[in-house]
Amino acid sequence: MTREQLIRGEGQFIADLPDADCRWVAFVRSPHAHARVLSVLPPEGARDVTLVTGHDLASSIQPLRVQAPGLNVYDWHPMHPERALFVGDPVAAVVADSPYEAEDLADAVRIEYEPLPAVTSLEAAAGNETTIHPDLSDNVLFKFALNEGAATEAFASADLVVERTFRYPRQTAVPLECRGVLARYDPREQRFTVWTSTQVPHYLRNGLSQILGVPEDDIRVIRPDVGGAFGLKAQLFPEEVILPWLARETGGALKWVEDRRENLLASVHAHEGTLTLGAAFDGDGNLRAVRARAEGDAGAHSVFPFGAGLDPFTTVINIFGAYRHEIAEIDATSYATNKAPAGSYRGVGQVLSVFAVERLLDIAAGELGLDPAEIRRRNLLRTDDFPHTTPTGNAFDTGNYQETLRMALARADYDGLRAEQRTAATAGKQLGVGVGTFNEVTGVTLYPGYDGARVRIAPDGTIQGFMSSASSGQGHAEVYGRLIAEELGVSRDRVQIVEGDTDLCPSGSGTYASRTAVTMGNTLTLASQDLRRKLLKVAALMLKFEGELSDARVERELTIADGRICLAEDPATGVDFDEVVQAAYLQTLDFALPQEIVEAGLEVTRYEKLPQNVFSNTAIVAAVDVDTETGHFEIRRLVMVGDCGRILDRETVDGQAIGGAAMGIGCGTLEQLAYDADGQLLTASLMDYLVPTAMEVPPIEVGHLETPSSVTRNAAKGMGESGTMGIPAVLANAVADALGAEVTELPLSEERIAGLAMGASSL
Amino acid sequence: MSARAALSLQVNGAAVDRDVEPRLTLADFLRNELKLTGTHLGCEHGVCGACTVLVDGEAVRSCLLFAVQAQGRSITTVEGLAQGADLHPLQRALLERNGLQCGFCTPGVLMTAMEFLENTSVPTREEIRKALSGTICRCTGYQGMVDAIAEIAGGDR
Repeated sequence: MTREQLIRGEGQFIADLPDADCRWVAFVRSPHAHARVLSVLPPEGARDVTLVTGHDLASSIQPLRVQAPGLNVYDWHPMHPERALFVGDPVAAVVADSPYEAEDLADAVRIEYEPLPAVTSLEAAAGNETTIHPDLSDNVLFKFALNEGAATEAFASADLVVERTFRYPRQTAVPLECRGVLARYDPREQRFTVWTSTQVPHYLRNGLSQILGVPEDDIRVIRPDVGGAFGLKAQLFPEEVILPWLARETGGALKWVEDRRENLLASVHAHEGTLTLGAAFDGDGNLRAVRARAEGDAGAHSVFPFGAGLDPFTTVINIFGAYRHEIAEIDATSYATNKAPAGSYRGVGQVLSVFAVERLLDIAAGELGLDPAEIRRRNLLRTDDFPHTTPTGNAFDTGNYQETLRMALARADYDGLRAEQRTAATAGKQLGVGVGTFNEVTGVTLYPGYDGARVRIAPDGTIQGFMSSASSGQGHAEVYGRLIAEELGVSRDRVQIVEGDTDLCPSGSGTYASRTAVTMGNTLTLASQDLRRKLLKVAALMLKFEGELSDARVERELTIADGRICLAEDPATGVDFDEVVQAAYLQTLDFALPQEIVEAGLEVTRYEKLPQNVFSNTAIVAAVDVDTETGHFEIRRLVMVGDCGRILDRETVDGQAIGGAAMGIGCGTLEQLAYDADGQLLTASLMDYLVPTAMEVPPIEVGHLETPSSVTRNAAKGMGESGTMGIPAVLANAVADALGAEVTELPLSEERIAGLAMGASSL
Repeated sequence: MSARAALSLQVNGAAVDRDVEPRLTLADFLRNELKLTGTHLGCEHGVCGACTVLVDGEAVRSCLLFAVQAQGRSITTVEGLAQGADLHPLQRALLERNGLQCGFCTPGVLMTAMEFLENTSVPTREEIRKALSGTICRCTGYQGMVDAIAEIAGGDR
């Protein structure tokens, strides 16, 4: 849908899809964190009830084995026949004529459980007293280590070593639209159509194909309008398997739309983990070596496609990435617990690494007697360090990190804020200033990391771009449309963009890890350029060029703009875009077109995977006024200067920057999923799991620097998560600065801050 | 649940008469019975504000009201804002000020702002932020919305 349709209320989100012939599914979910399912019976006295259990499902599907390096592999069942592994785990599904009746029915299903001891902390998981997956020998779901022992000598001989353990809370993305699935099965075609609110239509089809044991071509996945996703909708969920399976079993169309309680209980959580981070400095405050050990709480499952290593691996592989250092010794472990599975949420892994690194730098600056800005200036990568490869193997193409920091400090009047701190004092109020500089991994080349684009000009001149990505509200169509229009020399409004339909769009990764501009954009440009050269060659023939028509020659001798292809040296001589299209298709020419142009018509499909991840970078400065009595703080200034290479669309970039920043305010100050010791979720409503409202989001001042990428064709670097990963760290630095206290745990709740102000430790 | 109640009300200026289940929420009535799917459900417990509609001009969470409680009332939903091809000025301003991304919260934001603008002349940004604080947006960071409402209110103080 276009933005105008959305603003009219004409969006077609999953719940809005026509459903007159649908029956409704509701799930019976475990009230226990860990239990054996002894029996599942229909409601007392009920007849003709469609009730399915894990046993029914297990009899005709293949369990999925989520595989990636470092993962311990086991059988994942969308609905386990015998066990429930977290509160909210689906145990049975019912079908009724309306959503109200389906929920009534689900409430009345009789299930007998045998509760088992619940593992609800990293410590308990690592203790292995209770193991969660019988296939595995312990609760370790993922393990990774690099450069073991490499930092020992550097740490022993350093002038200063600082080491702390940082904790990040369990959080979840809370897209405003919950999940939902509409599934149809056509028995004549033996084909599934699955509409689902997803970021990853092709992965989903792949996972479904494995589980249902049918070819991928027998499954069509369609993504309707998606009301926000932020990583949460980038996994394959049990409900996305159960509905199509049940549609085939029952022979009709089925619909399920999640409610918020289910979303908080049983979609995916993220971010929770600890990081023990050490840094070794010389006497001048130059960073020499780092040591990072991350432990993540993966919840009950390793989720397809990313697996249980996602957060902690991303944390350690990107550790201190923006800063010069020679040695990094890292390891990451993920443990299974009896909580909802961990998946992705904007800022994956880096929310913790940036928090820990930026806090540790301030702590080190304090020890060295350096200003926080100065320790960053000394250690940030310099322009002539690029291209640069970190000790963990990340390759960076270009960057101007020092300038980004300078711009942010200048815009925030950092020196003025420091001067005010020294001179002005109000009883009970403390001004704190926080700084943070970091880079953001984008366009991840893992899982599998390629994208596909098909660009087509129809005989009637309609231009369409079919993309493997799947927007969830970021405004992809606007950017893609412009990129295609630029290459083909036509106006933007001639280009239609199609995403999120596995029958129409080439296969690819979907949308996550800020990959759209860099990987999808790159592939799209590749396809558009190929198509442009085809047009140029037809035009060249129409303009009676003689001799060989090489790519280089037509690009050199012809221009394409404003719907016309002209001679570069004589712009008055040319042919109209539409004439060229007609000639290419209808071949109403007095000569034959060469086979290379006839082949596939005016249509090009290209797939591509970048040779490396692409990193944008950001500097943030925050000033906060902390009320030391109540622990409340107000954000006075929040300045964020980002460098995402060439900006393809300013409005989209600003929207992502500010929206990501608002989410960062949530992650840093409000958002925390809490479980009790029995594994009951205490935050299963939006009255308990708090996200920022307009009152919590101050004006966010965004600045840009554009240092072109040398890896991407469009010179862009990905962006969209920097505010989310950086703002918790910078606010923590500002609060720590105001109080003269150490902050090693988030969120910055009033309770925690008031405790720090009173001098309580380890809050 | 077979008992049904007669319901008569106005929706976007048109008279509507239906028999409904007493437990049917106003939001589900609008969405499922009248196919006015612009009213969205984001939490169904009155926090997120996505389902906000005007009931006799007052911004109300339609997920917390039963349809039968709207007997005799006049309801305005997002579908009632534009006049044919012409968007309401507030819709236009929200588009121009980058006040939406995914569009899921947008109908609730619009209806909340309609009531606010009706009752407040020349608001401060702080007043606008407070007025919006009952509608959650996860995409935009709210700034474009505040800008748009300030523009329409005629004072960007």
